Amino acid sequence: MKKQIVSLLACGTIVAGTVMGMTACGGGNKKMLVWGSSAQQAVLQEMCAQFLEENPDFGYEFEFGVVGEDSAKAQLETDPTVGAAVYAYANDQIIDLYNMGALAELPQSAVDKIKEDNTAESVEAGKIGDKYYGYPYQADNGFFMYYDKSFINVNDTMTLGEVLDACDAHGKYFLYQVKTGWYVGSFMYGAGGSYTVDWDGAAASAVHQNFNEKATAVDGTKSDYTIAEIGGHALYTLANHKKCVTDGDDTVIPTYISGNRLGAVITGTWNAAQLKAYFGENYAATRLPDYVSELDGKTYSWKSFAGYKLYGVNPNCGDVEKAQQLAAFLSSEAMQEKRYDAVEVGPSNKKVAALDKVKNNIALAAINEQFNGYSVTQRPLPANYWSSMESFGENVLDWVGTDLALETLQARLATLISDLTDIG
Amino acid sequence: MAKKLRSKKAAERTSNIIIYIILVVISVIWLFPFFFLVLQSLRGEPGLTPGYFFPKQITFDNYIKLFTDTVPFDFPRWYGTTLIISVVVTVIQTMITLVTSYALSRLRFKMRKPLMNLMLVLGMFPGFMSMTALYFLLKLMNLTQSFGIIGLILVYVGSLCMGYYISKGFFDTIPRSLDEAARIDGASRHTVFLKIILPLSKPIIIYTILTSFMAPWGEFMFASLIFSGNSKYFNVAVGLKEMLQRENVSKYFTRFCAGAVVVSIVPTALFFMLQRYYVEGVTGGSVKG
Amino acid sequence: MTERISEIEYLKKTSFQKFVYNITFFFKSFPKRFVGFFKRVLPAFFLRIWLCIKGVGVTVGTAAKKGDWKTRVSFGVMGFSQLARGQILRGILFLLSEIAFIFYMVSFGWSQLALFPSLGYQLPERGHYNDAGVWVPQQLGHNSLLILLYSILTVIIILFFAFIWYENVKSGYAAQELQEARRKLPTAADDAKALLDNQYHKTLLCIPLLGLTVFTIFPIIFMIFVAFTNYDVNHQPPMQLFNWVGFKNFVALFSGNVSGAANFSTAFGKILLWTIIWAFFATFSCYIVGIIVAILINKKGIRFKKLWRTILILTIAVPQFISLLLMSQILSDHGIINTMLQKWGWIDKAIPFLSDGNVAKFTIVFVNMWVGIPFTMLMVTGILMNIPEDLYESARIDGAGPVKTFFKITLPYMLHVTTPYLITQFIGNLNNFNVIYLLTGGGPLMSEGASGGAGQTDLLITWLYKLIMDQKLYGLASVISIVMFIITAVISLVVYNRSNAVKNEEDFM
Repeated sequence: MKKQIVSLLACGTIVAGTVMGMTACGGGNKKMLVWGSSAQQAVLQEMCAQFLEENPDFGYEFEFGVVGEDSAKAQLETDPTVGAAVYAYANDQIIDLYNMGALAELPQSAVDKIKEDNTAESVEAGKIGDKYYGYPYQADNGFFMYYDKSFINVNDTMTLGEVLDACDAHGKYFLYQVKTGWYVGSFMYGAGGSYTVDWDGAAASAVHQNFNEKATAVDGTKSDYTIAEIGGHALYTLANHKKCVTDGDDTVIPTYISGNRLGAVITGTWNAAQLKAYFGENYAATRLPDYVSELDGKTYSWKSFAGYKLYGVNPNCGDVEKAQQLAAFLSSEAMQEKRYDAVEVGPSNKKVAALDKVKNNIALAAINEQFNGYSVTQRPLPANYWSSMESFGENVLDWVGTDLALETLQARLATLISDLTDIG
Repeated sequence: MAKKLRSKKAAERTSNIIIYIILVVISVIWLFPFFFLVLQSLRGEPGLTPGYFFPKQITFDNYIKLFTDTVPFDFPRWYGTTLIISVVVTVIQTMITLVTSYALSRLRFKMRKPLMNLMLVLGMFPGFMSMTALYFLLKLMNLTQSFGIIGLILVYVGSLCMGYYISKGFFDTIPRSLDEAARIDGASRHTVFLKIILPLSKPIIIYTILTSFMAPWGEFMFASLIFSGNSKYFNVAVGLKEMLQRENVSKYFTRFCAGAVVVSIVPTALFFMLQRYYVEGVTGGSVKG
Repeated sequence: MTERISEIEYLKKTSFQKFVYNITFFFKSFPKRFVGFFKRVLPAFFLRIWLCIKGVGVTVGTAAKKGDWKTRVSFGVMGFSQLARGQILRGILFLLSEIAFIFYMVSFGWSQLALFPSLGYQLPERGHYNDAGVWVPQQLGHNSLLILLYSILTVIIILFFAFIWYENVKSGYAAQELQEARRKLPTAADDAKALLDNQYHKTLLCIPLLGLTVFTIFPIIFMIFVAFTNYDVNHQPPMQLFNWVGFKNFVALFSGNVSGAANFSTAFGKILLWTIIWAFFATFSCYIVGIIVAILINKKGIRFKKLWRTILILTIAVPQFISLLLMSQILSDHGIINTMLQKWGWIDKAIPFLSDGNVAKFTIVFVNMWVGIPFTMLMVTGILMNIPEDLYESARIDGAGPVKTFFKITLPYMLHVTTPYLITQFIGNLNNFNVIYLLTGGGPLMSEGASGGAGQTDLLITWLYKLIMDQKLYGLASVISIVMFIITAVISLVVYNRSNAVKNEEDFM
């Protein structure tokens, strides 16, 4: 008897599960899956609802997935033929996505439109060969400095060392991420470094880098040291400062906020809201300060990556034309403004960027400053780049608290550069 | 003589006191994380680690939001999905495990030994290596995405070859004379299994139910693959892990804790209710196993 | 020394000496077993397979030679012999399976199998806008991955069908023989009855075995084949094809010549070493401390036994991914422990529980103890009661203290009884993905640079995960997992099949 009950229950549950699955799938309109990050999920759903209102005969119902711009690639990896019809991605993933066959080219009309509306860099970020593969909507994927303007008085001459000392004098901390691949190279790029990769399909076919050349200071003079040495040593100097929190990522910021110990932090626009609340009327942001090298005493600038976020259309989805329509809508001027109102991210649309409310946004003004002359556009880089940089950062942390001999640094930099150029 | 006895008693007492101290220390270490989890789930202030232990503001907000604020994280739905998966998996897996281990323990057939060896060895292959293959197999059968729940259930119950071991050990401890007596009375093997062995196997049945019920709550790898990023269909493990993603963790950590408490409640309650059987099952099974 | 002593000598010993002798014998015979596995067990295994094939040949041959026309027709039209002789249900089932098989092969199987040697040649065509601005849809070409996968599936189905065909011939001929001997043929009811009695194992095991084949064996075979292909970042379906490359991946692994990872060999060696060290410490720390805790709780005179046990069991009840993720937050550089210690002024700089490679290794072992001790404690409780009291009695007479008794009696006894459990634990720890992945994710990275993303706390299994997910070295990862698989499989087969638990199984027969 007992067993019969159990098996009855089992059958019941299986049937129930199946029916639930059926109803989830069948009935009603056809579905179109859209991905967006968790932060923009709410506004994305609003925008899609508005889209349906404006296009009542669109013929699809939307489903949503929380897939951030940085994880679209990973999510599509195993099977690019499924997944979202329209999804947001960061422009450094474009090569991989293209190679998976997960990006549809834009129709000429759309290309003309985005070129007219958006900044040239953000449009170019979606270009492969002579075709375009993304609708830009966000141009703020970089890092800069938030600080407490009550004691840090940033002007064009204030250097990183002075910012650190000011923090020290007020018992506050400076947050940076010494071993995160995205941040490790920033000093080298500031000293004139460049690293680009030629792509042949999915494979990197050639690497162009100049890390072994002499560094260039802000005043245009050449240093006796190489770019790698100046940049690597600057990273060590920063990490070695007693007020530098070397793993100051998004998860650590609240910790320092709650202890009222935060003086300045290098991060991006996504942390603006909580930092604004924390600093209150002393809230300020600017481009990354210049730094003085301890090796040769010269001043160098400090550069961020400049990345863009775009909407891509999956050519494997059932109805590419409709998906293009939605993607164009999501990146349109009106929607960029709506997105700005909801989550205060930097628009790529020129008119939206010129709005007073956007211009007066402290964080966006800082990223704008950073992107104009103090950044390197973040192009697709091989996986090797990130792990090599991270590994170097790891090593720099090992040196903290010790006297770093130049030879040790040079030897490690040689490994780094050979790792960076080793593309198989 | 009496003195010696007393001194022995005193020694006994000191050693007991030391043991009590050790046990208390161990308990503190074991309970600390869970205590911390519950405290964090009640914390009103946002952020990952606020830099102090006791929340300044105790609130049930995180729990309420967990169930009401469903954009972007639709926890109630995930919870329902996981519960369905878990119940179905438990029922199927319990039957399959019992049947397999009974066959391997009691029945004698030509391929028994090789089969046991095969099952033993197969369990050592890294599970995620087979994810791609299974994914496309399920896709062929159209059991991904909206039918992903069924696919997931199939994968969970399909890969249980190691699970038979402890229950086989348990069946081994039931005297064979019982079956033989019944066989002499003319009972078929089927009858022996249903009428004689199963009623004696309550501990191992409950043990199997418990372990198979708990497994789906913690699986995130295959689940995240099979649903193609369609948040609607996630199970709790994928969903909760999503909350701990770098970009979400600051905002959602306390809510993650609330979710973790909610997820843990059912298995923990079941566990404590059925603890006795679990212990009997695991000792009975693994001594022989 | 590994030879057993004579019966008389054995009987002369005291119970304690017998016990010691048994235990030493058990462990000393390990190496011999290992050799024995290769000398006897493996050849016996192949012999068995050969005999099996031979048996099949003989049966089919006899049926072909001695069978009447009905039996012979059933070689082609399955189930004919049975149908013609009145075994309707059997006949129909055989016939149906043949029809289903032919349908599968024609509609799907054959087309896949035909592409198996090349793994496909037709490249996909990207969707694009033509000159008129009209969207030309994406054309997916051959997908090497799916071709490989479905070919293997087809081969498995063919093998399964071959088995059914063989059963068909056998049963058809058996029916003929029975008829010739003028005996009654088994009816469908008889068949059903047999399936619940003498053939009961077939009934019970058919579904588990089907699951095993589809969900475990099939993917493993697939991965083995992948090891012989160049499936990697430059050959990723659906936009690219991959191809057979023979043993190239094996050569690459052993020569360490892996593109994009100059330090591959170093990383591999380090990770292998740490994997073994980890498995050893993880297993024995949980085991020994678990036994001690169990002894403490079960000591006479200790009260609240149930309470202590319940507290420990909490870690089993809470899903592991939650407790481990929580632990990684608690122990991080800015986690609660470090913050509190700093606040109280006990430490100046955060203790890098998880962020420094060497410290992290200890942390992981300790956290693993936190997870694992309750299991051991539960399991051991029952066994502890089974240790013969006279062993302890004789030890007490010899004046041994609690520590000495533990190391001289309890521990050896436990080791003796629970060897299979220990081996499972050891192998399980070699492949312990969850603890490492959820605690440190394998990090921090090795500081010597490019090594396939290898971290200082990575186990082989978590590294494999990275090789697949980040580096896309599918072929190479398959090779590593095959190598690992063979090693662990041989060790466990050797130990299991000769350990006393398996032998004791027969005591109950």
